[in-house]
Amino acid sequence: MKTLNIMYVEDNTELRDVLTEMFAGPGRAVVAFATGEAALGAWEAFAPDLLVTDIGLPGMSGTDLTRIVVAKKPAQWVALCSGYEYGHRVAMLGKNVRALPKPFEFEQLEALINEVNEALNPR
Amino acid sequence: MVTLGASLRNKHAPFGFFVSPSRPDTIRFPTMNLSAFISNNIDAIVDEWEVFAKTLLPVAETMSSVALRDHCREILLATVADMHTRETETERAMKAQGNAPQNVVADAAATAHGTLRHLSGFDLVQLVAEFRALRASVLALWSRRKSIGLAVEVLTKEAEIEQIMRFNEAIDQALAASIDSYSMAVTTSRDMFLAVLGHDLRSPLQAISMTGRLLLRPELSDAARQAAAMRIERCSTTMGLLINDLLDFTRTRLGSGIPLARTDCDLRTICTTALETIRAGNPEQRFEEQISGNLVTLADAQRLHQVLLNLLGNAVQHGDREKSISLIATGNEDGIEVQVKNFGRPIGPAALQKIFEPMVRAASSEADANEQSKSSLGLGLFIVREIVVGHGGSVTVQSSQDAGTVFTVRLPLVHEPAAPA
Repeated sequence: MKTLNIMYVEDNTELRDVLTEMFAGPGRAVVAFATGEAALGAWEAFAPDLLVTDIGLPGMSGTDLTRIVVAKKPAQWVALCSGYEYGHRVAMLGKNVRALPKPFEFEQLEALINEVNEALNPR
Repeated sequence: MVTLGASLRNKHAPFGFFVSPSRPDTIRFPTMNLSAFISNNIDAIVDEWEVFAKTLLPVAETMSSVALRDHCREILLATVADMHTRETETERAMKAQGNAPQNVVADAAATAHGTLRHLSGFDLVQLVAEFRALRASVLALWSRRKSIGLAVEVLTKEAEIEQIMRFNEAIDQALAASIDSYSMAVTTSRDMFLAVLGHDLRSPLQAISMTGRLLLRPELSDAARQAAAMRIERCSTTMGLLINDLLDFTRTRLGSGIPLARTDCDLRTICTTALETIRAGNPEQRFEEQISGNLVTLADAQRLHQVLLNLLGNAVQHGDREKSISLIATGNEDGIEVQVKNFGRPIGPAALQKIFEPMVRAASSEADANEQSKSSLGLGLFIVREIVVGHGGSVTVQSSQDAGTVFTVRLPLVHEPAAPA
């Protein structure tokens, strides 16, 4: 199984630090950014299998970031984290865009990571 | 208040409807209806109205005189347009029973007005008062038009009443549209407030919950365990402060103000304690302190501690990590001055003007909200001001590339116990 590249965008330093630590594990590479602009700048080079982003960011929003990367790569996997109901609308952003409530349980994120893994490495 | 007659006489006569008071009957006037009268004397009406609008508010400071005048002028012109519509509608209604006249232009102007007034911090009572003043300015001038030399011929009683009725209807409709958009602006800002609040509370909450999960991992090193515990501590503090700010904010909104329990206290101790707290939370940030003079005054120590925490926290959040944050406190017979200085991106003049306003008010557009960072409700500085003003002091801010951003709190020296209220 190839390494799963995860890109994480969150403006809250504490949350970014702890989740980056939680994401880390065998077979995974994680990069984290505080802004959508910075993430977008590194997106092409890092080529994440999964982009996890908060919706409410200073400057470019997580939704805008998603729109841009999905326009470039329609199959891009994205998890949008939002404190308010957003579930029904994410489907419009792309076929592999999912909503995560905030705060989410780590199991919810792990389930999504497994889904991405299975989609990318079909048995 | 400036009387209309006086302000009119000082102006050049637009459209030839003004007349020199010394030679009142040298010009003949056509019969003029109220809407034409408003269009022709719009500057004079706006002058009088502006004097009134400025008495309404400290808020008017956030609006330039030009912006205030433009708006009044727009509403008057829209009202005139609306009156014309009503005129033709009335003629039509005499033939067949028509629907209530609608005027899109008038509604648009009044709608924009309502939204803007909310952003400038007007309350509903003030918004209504403004319209009342507009109505009064126009009608007062109209009823005196002959005696102050603005018109010679007078309409019949019936025509007069008809004119005033049309005008009142038009103003009422504009007022209704303004109130409507004002209420919508209230709803929008409340939604934005809640969304940001959700974000501000949920991020540290999520960090705490994730850190809890991390701590369950048996392979975690002692150092990582230590760091995790500290993160939980910091996040809880952040959430606690935010909740306190919210309670204080609600209190000031309910009109009771922030309660102060004054005792003799030493600002020196308060400065030192606040610095210790903020240092503990931000071990990588450098701080400098200069504390001198007599800093003992009658004040609420806990509240002043909150003021310093908010100012220092703000400096940490916006300051350049590489440069130190300074706290300078000096006391002399004139009072006590405490400055908190950071070097970050300088704050622009427009943002500086609104910096003590909570985000609900300050963010006049989504772009503004972004600039102010979506992760801040801006309650902290609002509360700083409320507390300092409650102590009879003042707080100001200056920002430039070279001098950095400096918040200055001035407090009076008080030694007698305050007389019971």
